[in-house]
Amino acid sequence: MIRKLLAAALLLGVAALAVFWWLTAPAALSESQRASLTEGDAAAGEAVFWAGGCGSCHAEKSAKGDAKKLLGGGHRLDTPAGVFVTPNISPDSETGIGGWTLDQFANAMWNGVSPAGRHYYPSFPYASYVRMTGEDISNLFAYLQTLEPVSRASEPHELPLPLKLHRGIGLWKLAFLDAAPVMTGIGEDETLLRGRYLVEGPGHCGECHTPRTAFGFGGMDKSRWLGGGAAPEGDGKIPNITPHDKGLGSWSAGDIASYLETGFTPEFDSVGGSMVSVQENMARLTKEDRAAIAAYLKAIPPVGD
Amino acid sequence: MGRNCPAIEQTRLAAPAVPREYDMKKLVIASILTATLTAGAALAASHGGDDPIATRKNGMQGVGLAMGALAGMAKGEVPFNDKQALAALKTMNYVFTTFGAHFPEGSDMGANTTAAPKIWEDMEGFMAAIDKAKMDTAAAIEAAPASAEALGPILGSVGGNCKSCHEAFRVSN
Repeated sequence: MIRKLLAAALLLGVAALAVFWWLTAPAALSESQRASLTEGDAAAGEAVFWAGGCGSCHAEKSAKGDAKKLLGGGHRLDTPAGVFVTPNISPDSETGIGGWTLDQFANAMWNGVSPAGRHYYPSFPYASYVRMTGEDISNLFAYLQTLEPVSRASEPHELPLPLKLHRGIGLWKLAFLDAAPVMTGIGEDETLLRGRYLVEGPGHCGECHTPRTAFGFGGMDKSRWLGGGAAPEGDGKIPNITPHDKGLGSWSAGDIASYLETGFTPEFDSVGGSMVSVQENMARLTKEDRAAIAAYLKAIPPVGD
Repeated sequence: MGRNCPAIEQTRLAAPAVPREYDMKKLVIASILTATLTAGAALAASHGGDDPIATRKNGMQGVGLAMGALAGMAKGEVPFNDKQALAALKTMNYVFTTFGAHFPEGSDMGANTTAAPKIWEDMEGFMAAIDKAKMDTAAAIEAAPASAEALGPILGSVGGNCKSCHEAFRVSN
């Protein structure tokens, strides 16, 4: 009897493991994803690079100007989950992504899967990049290949044991990875749609400005979209950027666009903390793109306390 | 001379229509600067007082107001005025001259301070950042900007100092 029970338990365990393994398998590019990739225009990719803010995490901390294009990684993100160390994404063929194909790059950006078929941790904001167009991904890849290679081996993240089991990220993706736009009810206005794409896709604003579900370990809480919350790194809070009294309610769209361009609030306080690097990326966008972001931020639902 | 030259007389009579608007703008600048200097005075009054958090907040507010006055002129929202530009720069410079004295040990604990712990971990770096802001505003005072265009690069360097110091040494609350 006991032997039978043990055998049944073992069988169940194996079955559960098999289901887990099947559910959490890292994805490959889908047919439709691959079909949307294009030739890749490096010059057009520079705008995507600034919109995506690659240099804010993959260049040296507080890098300014062209130093932001040296993408050797090594930037330590000290979060409650552990320390994530950003990898080298410069076009160095030994230590960076110089040897990657466009398919491999696209699979990383959209599906969060490495060329070796492993899940990336969602500290790499593919949960936003999943909304990027194939054209932008292709242009960005072409642009990254034109930058200066940096020879610097990537380091492992410093995480507690349960989080080292990266296969579990497959479950996280099942629950939280979704290519659909967040704000579906903003109409068909072209400026708003462009703003939505920039904020929800490459700009990945929600990754910090939206609180997370599941005690901070889940996905972005879409019911409190861009409502602010605890800072993912270190002390302090990330501000609410919805049109609420506690957020940007008193700012005009022009104020928001001007802040993104100059780094100064309507009261002439300056941008601070990790937003400095982001703002300096936004300053490189076209005036129209900054205006589109501002229009979107004024159009989304206000989030209160 | 006026009696013999009606054209000039007329110009003089017609003139007030334009200056009225100009006076309004002047008033706006003047009130901004008054606020700025009040903030500076508040800083001076509380220098060495027992509330360093309030003191440094007043100082930063004064810098912000001065920055607003300069940016308004640079953007052409208010007319350029060399004396007022200089006064704004001097206000900033004055705040930076004493600013470093208001961060004693333990003053990171206030309920509403946004001073980052990094200030006390890297006091040397923090003081160097303040010193740079002081030197750059001193250089701008020395250069005595004579046009709105001349304010552009000054705002670039001064504004860059605001951002880099707030990047490293301030937390958002």
